[in-house]
Amino acid sequence: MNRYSLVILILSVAIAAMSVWKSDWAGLIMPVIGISVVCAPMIVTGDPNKGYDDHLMGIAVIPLVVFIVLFVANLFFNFEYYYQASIAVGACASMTFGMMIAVFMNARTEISLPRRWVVLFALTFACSLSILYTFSTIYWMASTGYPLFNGDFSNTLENDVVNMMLMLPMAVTTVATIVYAVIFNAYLKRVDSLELSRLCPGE
Amino acid sequence: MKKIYLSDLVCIFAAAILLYMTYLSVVGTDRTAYKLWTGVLCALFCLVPMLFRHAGIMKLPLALILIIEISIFIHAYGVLLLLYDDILWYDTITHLASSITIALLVFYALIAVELFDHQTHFGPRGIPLFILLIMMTFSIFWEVLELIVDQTTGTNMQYSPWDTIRDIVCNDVGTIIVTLSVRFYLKGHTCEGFIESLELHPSLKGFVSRRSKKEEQPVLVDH
Repeated sequence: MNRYSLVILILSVAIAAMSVWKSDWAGLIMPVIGISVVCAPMIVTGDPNKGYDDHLMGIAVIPLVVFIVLFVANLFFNFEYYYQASIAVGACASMTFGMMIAVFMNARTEISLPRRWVVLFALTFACSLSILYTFSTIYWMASTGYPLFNGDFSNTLENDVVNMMLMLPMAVTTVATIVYAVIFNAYLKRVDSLELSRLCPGE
Repeated sequence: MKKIYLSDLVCIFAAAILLYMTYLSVVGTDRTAYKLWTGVLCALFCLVPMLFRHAGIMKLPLALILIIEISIFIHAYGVLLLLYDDILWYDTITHLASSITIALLVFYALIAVELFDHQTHFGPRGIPLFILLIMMTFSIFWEVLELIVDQTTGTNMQYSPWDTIRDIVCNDVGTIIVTLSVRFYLKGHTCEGFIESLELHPSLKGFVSRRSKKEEQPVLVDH
């Protein structure tokens, strides 16, 4: 198996285990997508060495490592902005997986996307995933007794505070993915466009 | 004598009514600045399809212009006559109508890219997928924009978390309606006829198909 594929699989399984341990079921979405995206070329081609371009898989490893480091560090230091930071790092991982999905579609379907569209696909993919986190957040808010309906609020300030809790995953993801899109677009200029349109044989 | 287009009349009529309603609303009630800006901007947006035609940028079909005008009109009507505050489901209707309109515009944009950018090919399955993803992203951007406006100016565009979730669901329902319609439509039709009828300006075609020198080579797909 390609070494990057192996690393992403191990890190994704580790993140999934952490999510299960914390009963954060929405947190399972990202590692499950990671495992699926990495396994898809192997399953479809029947070749365990099939993967994506090394540049692409290399940058996918970074947010997964940062996510785990952040999680472990938070266990000891209890960061004030851990939730926001984990959403931003998760959005980065989702974007890298989105780019891999775009490459997979380039290679295996009629769809043909150049670099800019690969990045745009990744951005929209990561943002769409954040909607799922928002649904998970409102479920948590409803089950813990937060005010949710128009009539529950006596003033605008109270509404702003509770609404901010709901909007946090989408707001952080929106800002973060725009920044990542600029970075990834510049980074992928180094990658041959051919590598964004086929599955790589691996090592 | 210069030909008068029905679509131009629709645009002018909608803009004129909105300006008149803005005048009545500003004179008769409070929240004048918000209403004034909403009314005037919506009236200007009603004229955009007409301006596009006269500037030679593109010629939108009458059906699409009607949908655009209705979407803008019901939003402005709701703000100017306080229907957003008084009728619980009014917000649902406007979000649904707007998402259908914008999803159709995204569809038009995507098939323009499909035809003029020779590096990009979505195909009949890719276009609905991209409409869905782009629209979900727009939906998020809109809600985040509302949040920013609420936090910075003290307005109350997001009434409650439930209201926000309902907006997102309405946007997604509108998007899914268009996505499924496009999917079924593209099974039996091609995009060329659509785009030819738009009569896009050459510079707009150039913008859609722009590519850097490095990317001049077409992408080879290894199936």
